[in-house]
Amino acid sequence: MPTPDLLESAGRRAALGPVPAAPSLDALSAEVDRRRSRRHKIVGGVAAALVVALAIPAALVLADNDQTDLVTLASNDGIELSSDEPTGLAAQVDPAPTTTTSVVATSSTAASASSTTQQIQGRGPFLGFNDENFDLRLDLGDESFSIAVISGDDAATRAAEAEASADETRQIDEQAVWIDNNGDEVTASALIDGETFVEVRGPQEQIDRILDLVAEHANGPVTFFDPGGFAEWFELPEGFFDNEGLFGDDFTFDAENFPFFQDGALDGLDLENLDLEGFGFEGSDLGKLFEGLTEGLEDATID
Amino acid sequence: MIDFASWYRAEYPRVVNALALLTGERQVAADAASEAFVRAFAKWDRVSKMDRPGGWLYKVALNDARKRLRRVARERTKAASLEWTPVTSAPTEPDHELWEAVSRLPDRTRSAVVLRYVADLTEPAIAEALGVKRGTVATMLRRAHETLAADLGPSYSSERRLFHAYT
Repeated sequence: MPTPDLLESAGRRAALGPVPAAPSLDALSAEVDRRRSRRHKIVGGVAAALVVALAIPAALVLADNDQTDLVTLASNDGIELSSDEPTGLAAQVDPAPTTTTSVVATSSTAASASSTTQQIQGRGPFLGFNDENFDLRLDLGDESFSIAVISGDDAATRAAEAEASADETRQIDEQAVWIDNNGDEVTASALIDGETFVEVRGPQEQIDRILDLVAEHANGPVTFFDPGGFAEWFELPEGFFDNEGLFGDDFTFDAENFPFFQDGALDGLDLENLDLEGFGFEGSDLGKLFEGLTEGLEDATID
Repeated sequence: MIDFASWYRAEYPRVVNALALLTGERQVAADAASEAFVRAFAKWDRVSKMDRPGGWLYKVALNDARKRLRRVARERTKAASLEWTPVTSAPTEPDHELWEAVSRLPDRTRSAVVLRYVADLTEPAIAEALGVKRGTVATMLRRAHETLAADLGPSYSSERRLFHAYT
């Protein structure tokens, strides 16, 4: 656009308007260091984010392959996947800001709307999140696996409850981890930096693997974590689960790298209009959803 | 490689002012700008090598500003709002009428105008910041000019005609 244009000159004046003093470089640097330091401390949370990230394609696959009659990822502002249509995937996005934003994925298995409600409220895969918390539950076969990250006022309360009911307390990276084993499943939980409660619940074998992972990599990179064999399933790029991959700065999810996503599985998902509140996600592809989830975890644990 | 300190000092006021125009909230604008620069600093090795680091920066800043606006809206009204708060006052008095007219543009078009003329981004960078195609940006800007010309009348159109008469 030409320089003398009215907007050009007005834009220049607006750009030069008075602003609050910019944070100093030292302040920026300190903030970056603080986040990096905490990121190491919440490596358990990083594992959680990984599983959350996995949950999305897993849920889609389960729905699409008719391996479950209902896959639900839901929350106040989250995603709901159900199977009440005969074929393909369909999207329903409610733009109303005060109501649930939902995406309905459909498979060949019939399921009623009422069962959807029951699954959301009862058992069944579930992903819920808001500005302060997220809650993920996966049902894979006979096993269920859940992760909750809670910040805000509820964190200390949940931590006190977890500590009181713990059968065992382990120290991992100078972090107390409370273990509650009821025989069928194990719950591992911790209060990170006194303000973020992380709880992982599932079969003992899975929980042990996660705790081993956390202990091994508390101050180092997460090198590989693929409990569900997803790498082969999704033909994931080499290094996807490496720290330099999913959580590395250079990682971006590109649906073109994932043959599964090129088979029409995402047809109808109006990702352009998805807005996952709390994660700053307003993306046009699933990669931004992944980014949002991982960034959201940082937000949930840092804010 | 671009020097972060220089880039930061040069761009920070512009980013804050652009976000303030879009959100109508100067504190939200300052906070979102700071957050975007913190993230840029943390990933500077990568960001500095991007073709359009400005596009990336505004993309992060806009997302963060939206999130902060929601919080502000909730705190103030107890009802979430997903829309930008329209600009209600011009940042500088001489341009009051113009920015009032800009505030009446559709959300994305307004964003494109502010990113183009206040943030001084190129069309490809605007496209990246808004997550749209470059052609869409050009279309939005063209329609913005048409709308502003119709809205503001001769005061807008005459200056543009004057310019074109000399080119």
